[in-house]
Amino acid sequence: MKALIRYTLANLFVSQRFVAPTFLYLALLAVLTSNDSGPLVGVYAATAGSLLAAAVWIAVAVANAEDPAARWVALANARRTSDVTAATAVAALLYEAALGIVGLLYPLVSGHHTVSASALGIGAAAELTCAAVGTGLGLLCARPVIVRTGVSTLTGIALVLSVLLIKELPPVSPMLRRMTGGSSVRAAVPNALPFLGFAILGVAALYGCGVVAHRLGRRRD
Amino acid sequence: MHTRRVVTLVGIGKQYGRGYPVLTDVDLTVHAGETVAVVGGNGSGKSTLLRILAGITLPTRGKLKDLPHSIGYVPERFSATTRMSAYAYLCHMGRIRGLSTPQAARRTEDLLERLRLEPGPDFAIRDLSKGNAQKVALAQSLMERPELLILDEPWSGLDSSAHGTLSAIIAETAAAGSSVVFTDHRESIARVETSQRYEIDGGRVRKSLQRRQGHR
Repeated sequence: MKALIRYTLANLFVSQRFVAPTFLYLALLAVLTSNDSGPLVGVYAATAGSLLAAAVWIAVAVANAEDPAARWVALANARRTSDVTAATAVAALLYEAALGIVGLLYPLVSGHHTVSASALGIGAAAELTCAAVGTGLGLLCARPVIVRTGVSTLTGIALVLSVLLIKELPPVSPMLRRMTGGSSVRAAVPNALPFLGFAILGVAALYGCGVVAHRLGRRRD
Repeated sequence: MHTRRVVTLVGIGKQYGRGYPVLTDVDLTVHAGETVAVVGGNGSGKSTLLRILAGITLPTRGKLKDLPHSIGYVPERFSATTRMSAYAYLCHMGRIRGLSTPQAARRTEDLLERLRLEPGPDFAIRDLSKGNAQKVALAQSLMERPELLILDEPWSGLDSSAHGTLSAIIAETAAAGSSVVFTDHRESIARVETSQRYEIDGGRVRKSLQRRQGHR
């Protein structure tokens, strides 16, 4: 598994497919958080939402960095074919973790906020939730589940908008509303405990998407 | 008398989406040490059959039994688009197969020397010619001795000197007790000795009545 993750990350870096989603994320970060002086948790809602969009793209970039023939070879060489999908998800998450750290720290230096451990914890949980959900959605939009670039792009955009805008769909939309005071909770720094639940739901969503993507992929390979 | 079964296909069918069936009711058994040839024309379902044998794709119908843990698979066209060098790629594949980094590096050097990769191991795979990319594909399948070696039209694109090396590798693999399944067009089959020969046409596979002993 470690060797597969290492190979997948190496493939991502030599393909340079990480550049465009990274640029998107950093641009959103600059536009949405620079010179902000509002509550830190509200700013983290913006960084987490930005990471969601970037994570979908990054997961697609990781999965599509290999052409089909190279993917078949990796599937044959891995002892379990599910390890290849798992390695794709873990490699994407590792890269997104680096972006998430930037998303946590950048608002502290670019804006004027009251920093607290609770706010940082909520921000980290929100970034994890969005990275996990975004990676899961990305696996569903990438090869071999969706082969055509146009269909993949439109599906990815539709899925991101759905999880951001459908209020009742957990975990992303309810979490971001809670962070921005859009729900009934109006505290300056909300209770951190529910965010642990959102993060667990996000990881569960990633697992579910991974299983579906793997099963569909093995039928289409 | 047959030796241990390495892989068995029972009533295998494959259909992509709502398209026409690529394979229909395929029964095939491969025993240890056998070299099995599957011959057929373009679009007859050879590559799909091999991907099912390798456990890469799932059949729509039927059962795949006794799939071995260690499988070497060489696709028909290894037009890898990666900028990774052949050497780095093979080391990665060796590690994925469970070799340590020094073991993978040593095996990579041995295989690339034997297969005479041109212009060299540090060249990006995407910049290699078709034949040299095929050599990289062949090398990755041999990083660790596989129980089942699956080759999809392996002679395609290889130069004449590599033909002899490939035939020797197939013979050595079978002699070591592993099984080899390969596809190709009829005229190519004469290059190696085969234990069993199947013909595939329109997605249906039938065993050739005449046992073929090829000429090397």
